[in-house]
Amino acid sequence: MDSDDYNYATFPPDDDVYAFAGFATHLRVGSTAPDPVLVDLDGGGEVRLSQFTRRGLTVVEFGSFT
Amino acid sequence: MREAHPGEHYPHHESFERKIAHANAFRGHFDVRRPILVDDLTGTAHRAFGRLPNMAYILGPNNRVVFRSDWTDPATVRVALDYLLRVRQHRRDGMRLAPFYAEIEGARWVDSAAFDAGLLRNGPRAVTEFREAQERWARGEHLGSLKR
Repeated sequence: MDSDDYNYATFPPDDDVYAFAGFATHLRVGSTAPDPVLVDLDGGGEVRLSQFTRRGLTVVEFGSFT
Repeated sequence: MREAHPGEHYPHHESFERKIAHANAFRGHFDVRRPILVDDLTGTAHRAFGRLPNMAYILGPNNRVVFRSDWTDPATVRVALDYLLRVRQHRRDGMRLAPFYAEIEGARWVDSAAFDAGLLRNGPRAVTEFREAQERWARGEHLGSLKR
């Protein structure tokens, strides 16, 4: 996906309706979540989500400043 | 993830550096003590998890999904965490347990004052765009598309 398509400049995004409608059947309880590479804001190094989940239950909240 | 309500003060991400700067501003403004992990510029992780603006998951070992909600409500997350920790303790105690599947219809407190303050912080355009979207929603218009 192109970053300009993903990072919309004007609210609401074109894909909002799809996202809310599709969540009910997406990545349900019992399934295995992806293990993306992310950047740790503390230090700037790359980490995988599994580095946290292997320690135990991990709350993952998605959000932005706005 | 991407900015949910971009405005003049915090516009959409045109670079990874801007995304990092906004994440730092978020952490500073709310005094966030939890680890903050930043997705790439195209939202690879965010899209893989469902691309909603404020969803929450609780993951166990091997990234197994044990709780998820399409909006983050701290009180509900706490209830789920307490429950899951209790189950884990029961398992350690040797209690006989059988797995089952459950869903819940949540109800969260809507803090309109905090939300409006957030829109203002983002910039006047964020306020206007949300008000216009609200008016269209009230008329029953569906905004956006069903396409990926």
